[in-house]
Amino acid sequence: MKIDINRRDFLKLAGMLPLGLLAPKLHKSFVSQSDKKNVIVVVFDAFSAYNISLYGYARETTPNMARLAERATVYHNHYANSNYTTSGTASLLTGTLPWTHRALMPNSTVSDAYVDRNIFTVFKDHYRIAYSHNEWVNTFFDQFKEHIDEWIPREQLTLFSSDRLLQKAFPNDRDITSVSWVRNIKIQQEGYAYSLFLSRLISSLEEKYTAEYRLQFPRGLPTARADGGFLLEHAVDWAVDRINSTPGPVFGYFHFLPPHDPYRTQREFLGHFRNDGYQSIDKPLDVFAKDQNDDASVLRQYYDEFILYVDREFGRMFDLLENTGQLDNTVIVLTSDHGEMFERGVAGHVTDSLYEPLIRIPLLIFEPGGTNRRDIYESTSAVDLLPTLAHLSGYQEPQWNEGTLLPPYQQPYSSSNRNIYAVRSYNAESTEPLSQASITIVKGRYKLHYYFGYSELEGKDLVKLFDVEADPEEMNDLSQLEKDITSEMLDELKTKLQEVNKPYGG
Amino acid sequence: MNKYYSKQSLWSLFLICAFPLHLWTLLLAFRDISWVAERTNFWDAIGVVSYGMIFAFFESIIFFLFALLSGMLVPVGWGKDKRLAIMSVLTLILALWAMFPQLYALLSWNIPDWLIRSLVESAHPLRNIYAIALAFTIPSVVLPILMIYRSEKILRNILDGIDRLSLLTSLYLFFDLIALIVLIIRNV
Repeated sequence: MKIDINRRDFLKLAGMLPLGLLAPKLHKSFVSQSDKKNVIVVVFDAFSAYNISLYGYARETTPNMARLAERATVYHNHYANSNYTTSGTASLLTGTLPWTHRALMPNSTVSDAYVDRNIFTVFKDHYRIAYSHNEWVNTFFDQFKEHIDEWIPREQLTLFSSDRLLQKAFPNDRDITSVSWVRNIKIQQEGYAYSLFLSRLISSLEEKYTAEYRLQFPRGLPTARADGGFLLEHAVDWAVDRINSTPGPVFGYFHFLPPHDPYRTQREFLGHFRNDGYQSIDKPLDVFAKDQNDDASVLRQYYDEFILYVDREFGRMFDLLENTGQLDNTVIVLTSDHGEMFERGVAGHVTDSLYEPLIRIPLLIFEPGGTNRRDIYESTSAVDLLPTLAHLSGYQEPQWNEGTLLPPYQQPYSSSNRNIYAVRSYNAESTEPLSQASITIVKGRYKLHYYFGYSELEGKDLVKLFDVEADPEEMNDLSQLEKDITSEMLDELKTKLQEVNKPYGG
Repeated sequence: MNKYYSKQSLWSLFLICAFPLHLWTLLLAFRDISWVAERTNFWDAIGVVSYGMIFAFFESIIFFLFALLSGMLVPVGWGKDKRLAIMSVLTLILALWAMFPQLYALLSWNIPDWLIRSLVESAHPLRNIYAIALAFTIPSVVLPILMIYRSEKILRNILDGIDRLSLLTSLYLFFDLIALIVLIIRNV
């Protein structure tokens, strides 16, 4: 076929080219004229509901959240779907449980089926912005990048970071490159590094660059370790600026690292809870505890003081958006990917346990123009967020999600009629059945723990049952007293496990 | 360059420079393996070691260039063997001094109380710290040079030692090659 195009036609076509390139953005701009709201999801990493005063913690860690909660729907028993970033965040982003999305190992990716089935594909008419301080979350953004309009590199919101070049040189192995760079170079953290000479040189250059901020952070700058440090203020200011300056509607997913360790709060909050008389409940050592952690109370204090910093910055973000009138048209969500624990010989979240502090996370939903507080005490799950946000934004709830509409958007709602799962299978290959895992199932007032395949258990299974309504500290194991309930929940769990293992030969 | 180093002595000097840097990396990286594997997985832990080895290789090249140029300060008349022996020994001593503060943190050493007290009580603590440091470092540099310069036997022993260390370091370079393959696999 011969196509005749003269010079005039060519110039006309060339003139149309920029318009063609702009078409997707123009489409989103037209959508902005419609009634679509901005949706902003703010995830603070490792933020345990257990340590939040809004949820009854004895230390007043969240005065700003308490102030803002008067205009929000506050979920008091909201559960993450795992106890660490990879599995927990993948569930948030895909609305599916870890055994479905298969991001089980640290820094692993979700299965191919979810590359086009995630929160970014749902918000297809929004301008989608994503940022994370946590490199494991960026691994997902990398997978979903076709559906993200603006993926901001982690380094853009960190201070001097000597690993930037490496990040560019090794794009397929960013996380381990960063970890390795830290071990090679960052001598100031441990006092030693693999490198004998260059570590001194590069570390002193980094220190020089960040010196002006160090006075504000006597315990050191907040950091994801690979970077030279960051300020939450910078990230918040940047996020607000992007929300304000984007024509909209905007879907923003901001995954900020604090209060994840290292717990380095700002000077203003330093020592705020020192010698305040707080006494944690004495709990028995967990079977997965490495040893009795004598520093747990100090670490808890540091963590709580870091939460004060998070709380202040979230309050500031909210106020900035309100002052610019964005709140009239914006849904804001505050949540986390997993919790943190300072008891039973565990400090942090690197453990196979799934006690409440490790999986109970905050969830606050602020709707545009909200003036009343609604408290939801029913148990809810992190996988419920995706369908709920889709519902609030006028999108169809995706068929593939495993969550359900959160109350009060679903009425009636009863957590007695559903199973809320949390799963940790840290060493599981994505293509193999789970042979070593920690799973909890929450149903109504009961929570069943099921652990199997661990060397600590010497080949046996471990089952515990708690009435988390009457015993939220999980002190009284009822598995021997309430045998019928235990057996019923365990059967249900094992049936589910068989079902999810089946496609992988289990 | 020929009047300062033979090809063989250049290679030996490079291997001597690479030896402490690789040894230190291997010691610390294997110390980290279980920690990294626990937080991620064994393949990632191998990745961390591999990046460490490649970094050690590049640091070895920089260190070698530094040693190479410094060696040109040794008088030409002393000969290539003496130059190689002196630069090799100084290289190892410098690496030991670089390890020392890291070991201090690694093994949680403490400066003895009596030393801190006497420094604090002295009229010029900073000046005294420098004096103590120089009292250790200057002899650690000067004495080996003198010994190599004066004693043919010591020179021969050192050159023998260099040969043996070179063999060991060749093994480390083989590890570097494996590390490079690991990195390529991880990044493809």
